[in-house]
Amino acid sequence: MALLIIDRLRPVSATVRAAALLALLVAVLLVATGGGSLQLILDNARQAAPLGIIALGQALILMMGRLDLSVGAAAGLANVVLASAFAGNPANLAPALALTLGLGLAVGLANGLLVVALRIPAFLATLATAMVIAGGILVTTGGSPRGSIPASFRVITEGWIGGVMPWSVVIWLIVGVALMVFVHFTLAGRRMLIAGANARAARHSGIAAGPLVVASFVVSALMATLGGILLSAITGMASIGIADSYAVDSIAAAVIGGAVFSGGVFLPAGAACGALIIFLLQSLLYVLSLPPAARFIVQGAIIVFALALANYRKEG
Amino acid sequence: MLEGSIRRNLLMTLPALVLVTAMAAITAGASPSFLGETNLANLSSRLLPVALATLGQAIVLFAGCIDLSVGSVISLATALMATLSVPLGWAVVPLTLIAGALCGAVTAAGIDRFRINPLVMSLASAAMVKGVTLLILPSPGGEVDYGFYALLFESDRLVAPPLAITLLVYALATILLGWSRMGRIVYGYGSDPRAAFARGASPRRVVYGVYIVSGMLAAAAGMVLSIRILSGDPLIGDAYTLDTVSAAILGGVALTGGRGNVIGALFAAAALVLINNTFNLLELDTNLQSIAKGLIFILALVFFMRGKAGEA
Amino acid sequence: MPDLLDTDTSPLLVVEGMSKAFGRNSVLRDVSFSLFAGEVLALVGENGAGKSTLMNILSGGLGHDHGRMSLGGADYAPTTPTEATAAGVAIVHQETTILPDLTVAENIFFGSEPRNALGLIRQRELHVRTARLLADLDFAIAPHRLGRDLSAAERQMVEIAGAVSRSPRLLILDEPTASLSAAAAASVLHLVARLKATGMAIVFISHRLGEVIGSADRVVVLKDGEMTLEALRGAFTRDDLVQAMVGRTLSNIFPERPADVSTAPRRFRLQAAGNSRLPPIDLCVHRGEVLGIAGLEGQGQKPLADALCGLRPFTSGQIEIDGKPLRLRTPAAAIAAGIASIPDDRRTEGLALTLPIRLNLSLFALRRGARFGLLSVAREADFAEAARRRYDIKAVSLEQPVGQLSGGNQQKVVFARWLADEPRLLVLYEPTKGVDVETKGEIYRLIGELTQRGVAVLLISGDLLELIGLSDRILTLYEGRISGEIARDAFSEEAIMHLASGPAPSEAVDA
Ligand SMILES: Nc1ncnc2c1ncn2[C@@H]1O[C@H](COP(=O)(O)OP(=O)(O)O)[C@@H](O)[C@H]1O
Ligand SMILES: [Mg+2]
Repeated sequence: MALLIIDRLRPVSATVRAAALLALLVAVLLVATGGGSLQLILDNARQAAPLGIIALGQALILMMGRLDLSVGAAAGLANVVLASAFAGNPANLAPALALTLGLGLAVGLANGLLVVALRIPAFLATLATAMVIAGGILVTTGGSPRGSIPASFRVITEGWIGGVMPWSVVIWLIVGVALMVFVHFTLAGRRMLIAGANARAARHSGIAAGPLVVASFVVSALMATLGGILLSAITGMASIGIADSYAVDSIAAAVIGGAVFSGGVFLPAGAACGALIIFLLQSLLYVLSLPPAARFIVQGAIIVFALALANYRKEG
Repeated sequence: MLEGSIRRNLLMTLPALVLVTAMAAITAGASPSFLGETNLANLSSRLLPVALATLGQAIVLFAGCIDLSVGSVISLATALMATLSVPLGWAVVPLTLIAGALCGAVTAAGIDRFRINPLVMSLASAAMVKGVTLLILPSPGGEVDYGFYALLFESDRLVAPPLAITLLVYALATILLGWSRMGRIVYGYGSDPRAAFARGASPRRVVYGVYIVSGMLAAAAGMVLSIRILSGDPLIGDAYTLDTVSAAILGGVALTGGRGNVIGALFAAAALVLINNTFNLLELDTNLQSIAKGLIFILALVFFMRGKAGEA
Repeated sequence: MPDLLDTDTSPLLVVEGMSKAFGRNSVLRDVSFSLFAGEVLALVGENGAGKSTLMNILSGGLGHDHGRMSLGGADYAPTTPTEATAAGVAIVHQETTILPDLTVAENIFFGSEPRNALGLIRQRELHVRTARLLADLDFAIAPHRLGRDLSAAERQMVEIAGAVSRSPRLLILDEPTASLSAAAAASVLHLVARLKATGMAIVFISHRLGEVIGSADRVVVLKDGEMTLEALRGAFTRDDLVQAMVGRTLSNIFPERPADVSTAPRRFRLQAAGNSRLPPIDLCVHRGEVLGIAGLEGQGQKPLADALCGLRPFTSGQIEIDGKPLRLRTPAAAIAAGIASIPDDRRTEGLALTLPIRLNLSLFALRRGARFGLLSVAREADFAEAARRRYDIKAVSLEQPVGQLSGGNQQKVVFARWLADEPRLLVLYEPTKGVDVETKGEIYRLIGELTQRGVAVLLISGDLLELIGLSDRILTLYEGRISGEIARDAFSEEAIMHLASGPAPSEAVDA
C-alpha cells in the first residue's frame, strides 16, 4: 500500500527529491560561506536564471523524447548578436531584441525541420547545428566580438524589484509557469505530452507528432536565446564560448529534476531545482577553490548519479 | 570467404570508396602539390588518429550504441603523453591505453549496470574525462619524448609507419569483426539486442567489449596526435567526436546497428582528411572549416540514413 | 523408441511448484508437470495464460520466483539461454528471434559457427551445412537470404531448423504453427513425430486443438497462470480442453447474436481498396453486424487494420460509410468519420504507459471539453471517473500510470477512450490478446451491446474460438486477399483453417 502511494506521487516525488537535494546543498553552502540570508539565496537564483530558463526548454525537449545539444551554441549566438546589435546604445533595444529572438527562432526551426522533415536523430542534428553556429560566430566576429549591453537593459538581471526580488528570478518564474500551464492545461500541450510519451500511440489516436516536435525545438531555441539574453545582461558584453557548457548543464538540470530520456515527463519545478543545484555546486567548487576542471567532473557525475537513481527506483 | 552478410556489408562501403576517390581526384587536380611526397606523408600521419578513433566509433555503432566520449579520451591521452612520456619512457604507452580502456569501461558500466541511455552516458563520461584531463594538463603544453616522433614519423621504411599501422589495424579489425564469433555477436546484438540475447549473446560482454575497444582506440589516436604535435592539449579532441560519427555514417555504418563495414569507415575517414587538406591548401579560414564540416555532417546524415534512424 | 508407460524410466523433465510474478501481476502459480524422453507434450491455454512465460523459464530467458526443475535427474536452474542450450534445451520462441542483418545460415549457427584452426568462421561451410540441414528438413529456404527479407512462415522454419541443428534433449516450440498454412503446419507436425521417434522430448504450444489432439502424448492446460488440466493421450476430449482453458462452457461467455443482420442497412464498404502493402480488397459490414476476419499470421491483417484507421491509408479504390464516400487519409480523418480502432498491441500503439490513467482515458473527450484551447480540468476528471465506473477499471487511483494495470484493465482503458463517442464502425484487432478471462467476457458483452445499438464491428483475430463465438460472418485472409467467406451456420475451426490456408477458386467470393 505504501508502495502504491509512492507510485502515485512518482512525478511529484522526483521534484520533491530535487528540492530536498537543493535544500541540503544550500545548507552546505551556507555553512561553507559562514552564514547567509534569504537575500543570498535569491542572489544565487538571480545568477542561475539563464541556466534555469534554458533547462526549462531542455526539459520540454526531453518530454518529447529528444535531446537538444545546440542550446549552448544558441545562447552564445544570442549573446554575441545582442551585444553587437545594442552596441551599448539603449535606443537600439527593439531591433536588438527582434534580431536576437529572430535568429533564435531560425535555429529552432532549423533543428525541428532537420529532425522531423529529414528524420535525423535529434542529438546529431542539434550537434551539427551547434557546430555551424559556433563556426558562424567565429567567422563573422573574427574571434573577437564587439559591442556591449547598455546599463539600462542590464537591469533585467542586475535589478531587484523593490529591493527584494530580482527581475531575472521573476522572468524565470513567469516562463516556468507559462510552460507548465501550456503543457498541463492546454489541448496542444496535452497532445505534446502524449506524443512525447508514446509517439505511435499518439499517431494512432490522430495526433500528428511532427509539428509538435518542431514546435518543441522552436520553444527550446527561444528559451536558449532568452537565457543568452539574460547571460548577456549579467556579463554586459559579448564573449566567445561563454555559453557552451549550457548544453550539458541543461540536460543535467532537467534530469536531476526528474526528466527521463524516454519522454512523457515534464516537471518545470524539478528542472528549476536542478538548475539551482548545478549552479550552487559550481559556486561551491569555486568557494572551495577547486580547479575549473572539477566542474566538468561534477557535471558528468551528476548526470550519471541522477539517472542511475531514477532507474534504480524504477526497478526497485 | 566473402559470403553471407559480409558481402552485403562490403557493398555498403561503395559510396565511401567513390567519395574518397573523387576527393583524391579533385584535390590532385586542383593542387599539384597534393601528390608531393611531403604532402602524402603528411596526409597519412593526419589520417592515422582519425582512422583509429573512427574504427572505435564504428565498432560501437555496429553494436547499436554510440560513443560521444571519443574526443575527450583523445584529449586525455594527449595530456598523459605530454606529462608522462618524458619521465616514464615507453611505459607511457600501455598506461595510456589502459586509461582509455578504463574510460570505456566507465561508460559501459553506466549503460549496463544503471541502464543509462548510451548516448547520454557517453556524454556524461565525456564531461568527466574532460575534467580529469584538465586536472592533469590545464592548458596546452607539456612535452612528448622526441623518440616517439622519430620512430613514428621519421623512419625510412618502405611504407610510412602511420600508413602501415592504419592498414594493419584495419585488416585485423576486418577479420575479427567479419570472421570471428565475437564479431558476429557484435553485429547480431546491434541488429536486434533482444533476439541476440535470446540466442545466447551476453549484452554485458558486448557493451563492455565495444566501449573498452573504442576507449583504447581513442587513446591510441590521442597518443599519435600528441606525438605529432610533440605536446598535449586538453581540448584538442573535442572536434574529433563528430568527425568519427560523420566518417562512420559516410562509410555506410548504420546508426541503428548491425550493418556496415570498417573498410567503408576508413574510406570515409580518408575522405574527411582530404577535405581538411583541401581546406588547408585553399587556405580557408579554420572557422569556415568547422561550418563546412557541420554541413557535411548534416548531408551525410540525410543521404546515408534515409530516414531509418531511431527517435533519440 | 522408449516405452512411454514404462514406470522404471524416470522423467526427463520435472517441473514442480513453478511460480512467477511480474511486479504485482502473478503470471504463474504453482505449476507442476513432468515429461519423458520421446514424448510430446502439448501446452494449451488462452492468450496471456502464462505459457510463454513458463517456457522462457525452462529455457533460461527468465528467472522464477518459486519452484524447482530437474532435467535428466539433475537439478536444473538455467540463468541464461546459453546455460539452457548447454544442458540440451532448445527453444523456438513465439516472437521470432531472427537477427535481421544476418543471413539464414548465420542465424541458424549464431554462436556455434564452424571455425578453422585460427578460430575464424568458415563462411562457406556454414552456408553449405545450412543448405543440407534445410534440405533434410524439407524447408525450401535459401541459406544466403537475409533475416529481414523472410516471411513470417520462413522465419518460423529457420528458427525450428536452428533449434533442431543443436540436437537437443528437450525441444520447445512456442506456437510454431500460428503463422503456417495447413500444409506447412502438417510438415512441422510430421517433423515433430520424426524427432520424437529419435527419443527427443518436445513441448509444443498451440491454439489449434486439432493439432493438439492429433499429436500430443500428454497435454497440460494453463488458465490465468494456473494448471487446470494434465492428461495423457486418449484421456481428454476437445470439450475438456476448452472447459479447462476458458473455465466455463463457451455459450456463457459470448453474447447472444441476433438471427440475421444481413438485412440491416449497409454501414461500411470497401471496393477495390488497397495500397502498397495490401492488394485491392472488397468487403462490407452492416449495421449491428460483427464481421470476423480470420487468417494465419501475417496475411494482411496488420495492413488492413492500419489502412482502416488511416495510419497507412488506402491509396486506391472506394470507401463508403453509411452510403457516403469517404477519404481516409489520416487517423484524424478516420476518427472524424466515426471509425474507432483498437490496436493489437496496446502497449506500443494504444497507451502512453508512463502517463496516468486519467490522461490516457480522456484523450478524445478532451476535444469537446476544451475552450479556446484550454482544457477543462473538472470535465476531464468527471469523464475519467465516469469511465472508470462504467468499465469497472480496477485501479488504485486515476493518477496511477496506466502501465501498472493488468492487461485486462489496460485494455478497458483503451476501449473507454475510443468509445468516448459512439463510433459508427469499430475495428478490433486482437481485442483480447493478453487479457484475463473475466475481462474477456466483459469485452464480449460490450461488443454485444454496441452492435445492438447499430455499431458495425470488424473483428480481426487469430483466436478461432473468439471469431466463431462473436461473428455473424467470417472472411478469411490469405496473402492479403480475401480467400473465402463463411456464414454463421457453417462456422467451424476446420472450415476456417481450410479457407485460411489458401485460395480455393470455387469458394472465392466477391463482396
Ligand atoms: N516481461 C513481462 N513483464 C510484465 N508482464 C509480462 C511480461 N511477459 C509477460 N507478461 C504478462 O504475463 C502474462 C502471461 O504472458 P505469456 O506467458 O506471454 O502468455 P501466453 O504465452 O500464454 O499467451 C500476460 O498477462 C502478460 O501480459
Ligand atoms: Mg505466448
